[in-house]
Amino acid sequence: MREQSLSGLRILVAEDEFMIASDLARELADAGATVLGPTASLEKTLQLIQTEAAIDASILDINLQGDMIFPAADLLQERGVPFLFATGYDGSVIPRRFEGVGRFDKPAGNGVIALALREAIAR
Amino acid sequence: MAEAVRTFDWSRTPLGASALWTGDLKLAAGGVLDNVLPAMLAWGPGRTTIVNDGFGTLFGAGVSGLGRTLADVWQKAWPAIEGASEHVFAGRPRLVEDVALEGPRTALAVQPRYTVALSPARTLDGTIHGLVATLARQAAPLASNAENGFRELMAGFAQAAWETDAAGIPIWSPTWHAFTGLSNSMPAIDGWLAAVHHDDRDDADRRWREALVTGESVDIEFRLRRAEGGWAWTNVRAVPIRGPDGTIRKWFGVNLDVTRRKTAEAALRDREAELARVQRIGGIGGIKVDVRDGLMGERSPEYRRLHGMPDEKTRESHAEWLSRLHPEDRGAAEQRFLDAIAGDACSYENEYRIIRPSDGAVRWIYARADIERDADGKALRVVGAHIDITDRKRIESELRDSEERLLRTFDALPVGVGVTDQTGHVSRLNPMMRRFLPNAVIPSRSPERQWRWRLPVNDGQSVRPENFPAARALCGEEVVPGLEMLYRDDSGSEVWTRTSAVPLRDAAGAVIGAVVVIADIDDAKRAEETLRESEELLRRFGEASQDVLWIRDAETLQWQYLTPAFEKIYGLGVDEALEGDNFRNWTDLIVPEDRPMALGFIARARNGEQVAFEYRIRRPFDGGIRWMRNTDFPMFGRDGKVESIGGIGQDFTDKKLFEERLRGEEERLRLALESGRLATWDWDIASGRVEWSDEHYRQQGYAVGEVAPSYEAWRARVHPDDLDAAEAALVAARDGRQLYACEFRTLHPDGTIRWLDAQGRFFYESDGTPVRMIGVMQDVTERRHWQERLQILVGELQHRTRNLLRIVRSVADRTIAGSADLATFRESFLDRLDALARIQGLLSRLGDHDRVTFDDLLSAELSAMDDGSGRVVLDGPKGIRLRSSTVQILAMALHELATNAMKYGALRHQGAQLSIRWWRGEADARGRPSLNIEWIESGVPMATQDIDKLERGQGRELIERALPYQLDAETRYELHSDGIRCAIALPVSASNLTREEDHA
Repeated sequence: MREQSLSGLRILVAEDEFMIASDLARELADAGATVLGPTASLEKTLQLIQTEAAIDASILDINLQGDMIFPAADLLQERGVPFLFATGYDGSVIPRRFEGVGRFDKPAGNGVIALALREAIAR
Repeated sequence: MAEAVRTFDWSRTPLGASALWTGDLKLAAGGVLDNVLPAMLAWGPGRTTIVNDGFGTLFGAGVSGLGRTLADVWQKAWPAIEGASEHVFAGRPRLVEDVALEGPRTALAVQPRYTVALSPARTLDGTIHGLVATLARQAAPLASNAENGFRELMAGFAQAAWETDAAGIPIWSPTWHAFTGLSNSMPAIDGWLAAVHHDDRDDADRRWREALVTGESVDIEFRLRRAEGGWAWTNVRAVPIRGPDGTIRKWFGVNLDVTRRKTAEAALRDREAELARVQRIGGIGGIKVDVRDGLMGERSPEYRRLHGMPDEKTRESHAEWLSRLHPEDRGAAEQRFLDAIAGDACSYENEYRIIRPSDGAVRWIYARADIERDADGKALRVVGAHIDITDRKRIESELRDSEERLLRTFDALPVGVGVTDQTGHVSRLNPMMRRFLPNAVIPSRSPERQWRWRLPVNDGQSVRPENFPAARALCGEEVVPGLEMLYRDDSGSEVWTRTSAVPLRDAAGAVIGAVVVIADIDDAKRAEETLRESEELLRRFGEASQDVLWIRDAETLQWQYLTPAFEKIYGLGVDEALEGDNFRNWTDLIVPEDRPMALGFIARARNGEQVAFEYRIRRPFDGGIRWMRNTDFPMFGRDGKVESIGGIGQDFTDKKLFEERLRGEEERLRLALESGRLATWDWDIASGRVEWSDEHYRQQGYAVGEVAPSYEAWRARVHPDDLDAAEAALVAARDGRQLYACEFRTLHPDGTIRWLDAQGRFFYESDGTPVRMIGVMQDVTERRHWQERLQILVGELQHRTRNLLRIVRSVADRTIAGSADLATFRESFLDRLDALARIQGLLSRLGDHDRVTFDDLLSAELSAMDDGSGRVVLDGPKGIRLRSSTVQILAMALHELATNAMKYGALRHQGAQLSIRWWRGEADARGRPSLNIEWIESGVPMATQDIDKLERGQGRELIERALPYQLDAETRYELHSDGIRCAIALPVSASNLTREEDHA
């Protein structure tokens, strides 16, 4: 079952656009995941990462209300949490240290995100 | 007898020739000869005798008393005389009585007896040089009578005769008193002194008193007053008369008249003074050298002066004289002197140098003297004169030098010079002349050598030998400067000569010979020919030259030479150009601005400097300007002065115009590059020399000219991070023969960083060696900035577009969820898309730093709905700027509120009212100013189904969930029975905006 593919996973979502964030959260929830967040600012994201004991994966919008998300990405990488970048930008703004990080363009089609997340976790 | 004395040959005697006798001798001799009594004089060391007639008769005829010796002349009486004579020579006069003479009168029965008075004969200085003997015949032996007779006799030849007692008191002196006129009334020891001349008195008194004490006989001379007036010189001779016991009984004296002698002595002194004066005037030093006295010499004042001796040194020894002689002359001069003395010559001459003691000067002395000899020829004295001949010697020496020089000059002359007599024989000729006239005969008189000489053929007629220069000079003509003649020498080749001659004349003006000069002018002649040829060559060059050549006189600056090219360049004929003051005329052709400069250069050439200068002339016939380039150079004469000025003038007008055009093009290119801010470089790789344009310096942060352009200077200002890439690109372009194109940063010393875009190209030799690189460089910092900016903008655009699509998708989802049918969906969906489109329109119109204000947003949303009926009340300040990231979601929320108001609320129902109020609120915890909005609808009859729809509607979700989530807003949404009441408080843009707010 496609919907069950993320079941039991705790997925952190950082997305400042309310409608996108709520759609994404619903989609993940439909896939069986527990959504942490979503968070609309870098500050809240960092806070959440630091307070949440278990994070299985994360989807990060690169730009949250003008702040680049990379400090949060660094923190996740430190904790060994796999994550994906969701962005409208091309790759050039992403620092090299995140070269291998998976990325999908918004809007992504049904199931694409879940698939990408699974790949990231499996790596 | 005086005659006999004069004629006697005295030169054989020790007295020497009578002409050389001293004054003393002459005086003494005179006294004897004049004596009335028989008298004789014996003089000099040889005691040579002179006798008077009286003396001679006593000894008989045939026996001469002249020039004999004392002992000899007295014959048998000598023993009686000898002892007394010794006393006399010691200064003590003696009387010898009863002297018998053996003479011619021996036949007489009674031999007469004589009293002989012997007294010394002195020289002026008082020394005794001789003896005078006077004889008186004694009377009969009767004493008293004899005495009386003796007295009378005395009175006969003396001035006076007298007697005193032993104490000197006069006893008898009638003749003395008669002579002096003094009375004898009171006889006293010093009574006689009253008649003695005052100047002589003390001496006379003293000596008389001394004699009275010593008993020595008296010999005193002094002046005595005559009774008749005047003074007479007297010689007092007195002898003591002693008794049988030897004591002095009385004194007997006579006064002899010596006035004549004294006068003669005075005259002699005068003459000697005169002689000294003459010597001084004539520069003649007098000497006397006494050969017998160890060569002791007497020196006259002038001699002492000439010899630089101290004035008091009147006498000096032979050694002293010798020490003064110049060492080089000493031996020879002394030998000559000694030889002269030792020989038999009566005169002596010598020349030698002395070192004058007074000043150390070396002087030449000429000495000439007589040598007095005795009868045996033995030298007695040398008397002579010295003169200083230094000046004469010097002149002689100079004359000798000058003659020597003249002679050498004559021999060394580089021309042949000879003096010929009338016959053509050359008596005096120098070595050069011997070359041409080896037989010392002039060619015209020397047929066998004539063939060697010819004149250059003149009008086809050869010149005859009688017209040769020397022949003409012998006819009285001056052939100067002479003729050029060809001389064929022994090798057969001809030599050019110049032969000149002038006649020599005697005092009467008759020609007695000629001076002939033959100069070898062959080299000069040949050089002249060569010069003529080279001048001809130069002339041809000059005429063929495109450049105008000229020579000016350095003094007048007038042209002496001007080539035909002048006409081509100046358009003025050469003849015309040379007319009048041609320097002035030429100067006038120069354009006035260039004239002082050109004249300045010519002045420098005139001062000996080579100059090059450019100037313009205006061609007189067409007014055309020609550009001239001149090289002027000084030409020096033999004296080293600038004689003339050479000039080479080149017309380079065409070149000049081309240069100017080129310069114009260069200038244009430069301006183009400058206005395009293009820096250029030109790198000569082989030499490493690089040229930069000014812009190149500026682009790399150098002041123009601050450094010498070089690869290193370029490299030094390339940003270290870009250097490797920039140099690698350079190498790649060079080796790959590609265009070089590289962008790199430059780092200026002040820290400024600029991006430069350099593009260049290498050039290669045929063998592939790169030799040169030329390129341009441009500051592309701005362009890069905009590129980066564009990149960001593009990214932003993609981001927004994708976000927007995502939102559209989401909106579509939600609209579907809230739509009963497709028509409703269509209406709602399009309405929402329109709202999104409006917001995008607002946002897209904004510039970088513009912001959408809340009132703009509100009016954009409400403009379509507000019908102007007054149902809508807006109340709030304008110009509250919204953060761009908040605009879309806020606009969507307002749109939902407005749509709901139209569908169900205040805008749908008559009588209902919508009041929107907003104001600036307090800053929030993060210091962000806030905007408070109140949306209050009233008088709305709220239907239940409407309320139901609103409660589930998008508007409520947006306000209650989306705004807090997305904008950190605080919201309230209430459905009241008369309408919706909604409040929103959200952070807005601070006045000081940052760029990050534009993102997202």
